[in-house]
Amino acid sequence: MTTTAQSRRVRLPGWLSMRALIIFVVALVLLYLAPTVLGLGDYLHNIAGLTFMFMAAGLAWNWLGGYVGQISFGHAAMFGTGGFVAARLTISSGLPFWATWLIGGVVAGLYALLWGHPTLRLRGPYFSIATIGVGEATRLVATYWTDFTGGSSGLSLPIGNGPTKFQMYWYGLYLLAAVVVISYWLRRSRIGLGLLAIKEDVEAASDVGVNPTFYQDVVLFLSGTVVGVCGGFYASYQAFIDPLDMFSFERSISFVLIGVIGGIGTILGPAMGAVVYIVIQEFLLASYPQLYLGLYGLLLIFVILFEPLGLSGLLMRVGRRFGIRPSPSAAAGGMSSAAAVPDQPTASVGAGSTDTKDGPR
Amino acid sequence: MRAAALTAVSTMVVAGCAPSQSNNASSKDTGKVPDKIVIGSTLPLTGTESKTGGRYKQGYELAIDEINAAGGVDVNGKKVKVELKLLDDTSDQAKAVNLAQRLITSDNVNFFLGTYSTALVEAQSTVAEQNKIPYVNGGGAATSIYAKGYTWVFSTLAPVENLATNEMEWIDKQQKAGKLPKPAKIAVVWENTSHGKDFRKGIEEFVKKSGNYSIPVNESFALDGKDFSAVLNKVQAAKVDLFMVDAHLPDFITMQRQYLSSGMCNKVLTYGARGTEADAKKDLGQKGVDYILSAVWWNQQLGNKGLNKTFVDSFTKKFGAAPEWYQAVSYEAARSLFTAITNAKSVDKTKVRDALSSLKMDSILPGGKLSFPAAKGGQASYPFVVQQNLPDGSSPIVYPDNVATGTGTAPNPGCKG
Repeated sequence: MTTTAQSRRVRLPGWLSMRALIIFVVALVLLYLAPTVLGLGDYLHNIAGLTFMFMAAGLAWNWLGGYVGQISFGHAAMFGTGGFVAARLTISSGLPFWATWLIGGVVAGLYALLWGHPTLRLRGPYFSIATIGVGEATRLVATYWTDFTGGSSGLSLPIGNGPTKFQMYWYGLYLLAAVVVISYWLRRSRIGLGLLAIKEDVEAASDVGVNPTFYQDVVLFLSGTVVGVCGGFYASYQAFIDPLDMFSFERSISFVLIGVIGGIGTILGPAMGAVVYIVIQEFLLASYPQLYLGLYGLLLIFVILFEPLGLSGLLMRVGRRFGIRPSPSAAAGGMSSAAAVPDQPTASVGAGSTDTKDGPR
Repeated sequence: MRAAALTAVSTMVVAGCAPSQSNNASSKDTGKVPDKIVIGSTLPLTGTESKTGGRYKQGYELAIDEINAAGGVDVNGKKVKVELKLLDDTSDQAKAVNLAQRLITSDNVNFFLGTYSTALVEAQSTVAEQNKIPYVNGGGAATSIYAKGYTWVFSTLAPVENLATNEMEWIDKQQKAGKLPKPAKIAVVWENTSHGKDFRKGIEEFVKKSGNYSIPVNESFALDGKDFSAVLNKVQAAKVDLFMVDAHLPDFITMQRQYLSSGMCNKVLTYGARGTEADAKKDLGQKGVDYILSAVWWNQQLGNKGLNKTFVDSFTKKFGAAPEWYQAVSYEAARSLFTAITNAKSVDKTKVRDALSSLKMDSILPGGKLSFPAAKGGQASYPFVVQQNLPDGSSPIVYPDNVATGTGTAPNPGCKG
């Protein structure tokens, strides 16, 4: 209540709470200063930058997979498209790196619309199967489109023209910050309510005036664009990309894993999922290069069987033990979402908006 | 409050966006010689290229064992032992990049020995260049790797373009002797990597210059293919005389199996550098690899004295089998790095890089000398040895004439009609 009162005093937009804004800004400042204060080694510093990117990609995947309930196994198609468009532009044009990421992202978003507009009429497993087909077809085309992707050899980006790996930490942080804001806005705006309605029942949503095709197209475009920007970021970070990696099914699965491990439908979930994903990958990759895939599989099974809301659900369970109830207004840096508290109708966060119940599918 | 928050965020975003100074200042030459030199490396020890990766490992290990047995690398009068920190990149480009990053920035290795296969080296070399660490490899032969202006990357493998040219020179000799039709039709089938493109370029340039050949089939395929029937059907339909493929070991074995099972036979058959490997003979049988022409970077028949003899003897003693070219080029990659460290009289990365650039050392590779000419972007250049499998299991060198131990057979006597 106090927070709502404060929000009114400083005239924040209806979807934004003061508490969330404070948490967001404090987290951003802390993460911005962390490398300087903590003096991380180059390795950890670089990995942190990459983790921010995976957090952003996981959150963007979550808009479709978590908010709309359409699980995509084909997001590598956008990741690769964005990455290769950005890489090609970096090689052949004098555009600044951030512009190549943005253009790559928009092209990836448009590509997502191209296949998504017809396939989003499918629901549940049918849509998921369609995305597998799209991902694999895109990978094959990209592998043979040598002039664009370099074929199996991939593309090397000029070294020294863009940001250094060290600087990528901060660009990753900005990317993540932007995606967190969009996630929060999506969750709290009328569009977010529309998406939840579609997730619950498409026909019922249609009956009450929500246009499922339009809403889903918008979300897919946004999701594809952000994942495409992440592809551009990854290309700049690695200075080398190849279609077998960028468009791989493994890459698509990584976005699903990040979402599922962290908690589908939440904001903090995919962020935590990305950390787990990177930690497992980095610490097992060197010693047990084949084992980490198995570990992801095991983790997935455990999550689905015992804690469908992933790490977010686990945190909340622990929190409830100590009498802490998650506040819906903490979503920007916390774990608030209707999905996260399926049995808790959430408070009104804006003029006339009310969160609805939303469980994992 | 809102003003403060907005100010904080906008200040960060607008003011240069990202600090540029790394926490770990790049290693500077303190003149101090360490007690141990740690060399990082990744190889495909599992995955599709695991067999070849294992051979490269043997080459690296032998070179390191030898130098350590001699007390270590001579660095300005002090003998320093060498340790190899080797990780498995599972034949995966992304993993090769990540692991190299980890070895360089987390394990702080002094130098790097490269992985195997052009695709992986192409990916990994960017990490070496970004981190300014001397990177010597014996696994990436495509010229595109060395045409990027990189100054920290060196290769003991001569360009694949030379491979194609040397094979065409032997073929041309057979044509001039009336053993092959004139003009002859060639099917060029290449993996869609820089490696394959170099192979295609070598043949195309030779054909253009000669005028006695045509290329009715010019097709590419993706690495790690499972079904080559479409491209083989095209080759069969074109009734070509020469079937010239550039493939890595797994693709060579798969394609050759499908080639044989579809009853195809061409007057000359080559898979670039493949054909003599024990794994191929094991999988396809001796008959399955008979008369395959191949051009490689090294063959133990090159000489049985001096460095070559020492290498073959010590290798055979350590591993109980004769070395192939894979072990020879990796052995030379490690040896060239040790020589450069000694020449630099320091473990300073820049000094060792400069020593590699100006290196000229005695070598087991064809020509007897190894250097990394700047004009070729740090890639060694020397002639290939062309060899041909015979039914008795031998693979004599058939070209160049000055090192030939046999004459070679064309057309393939195994073809009916």
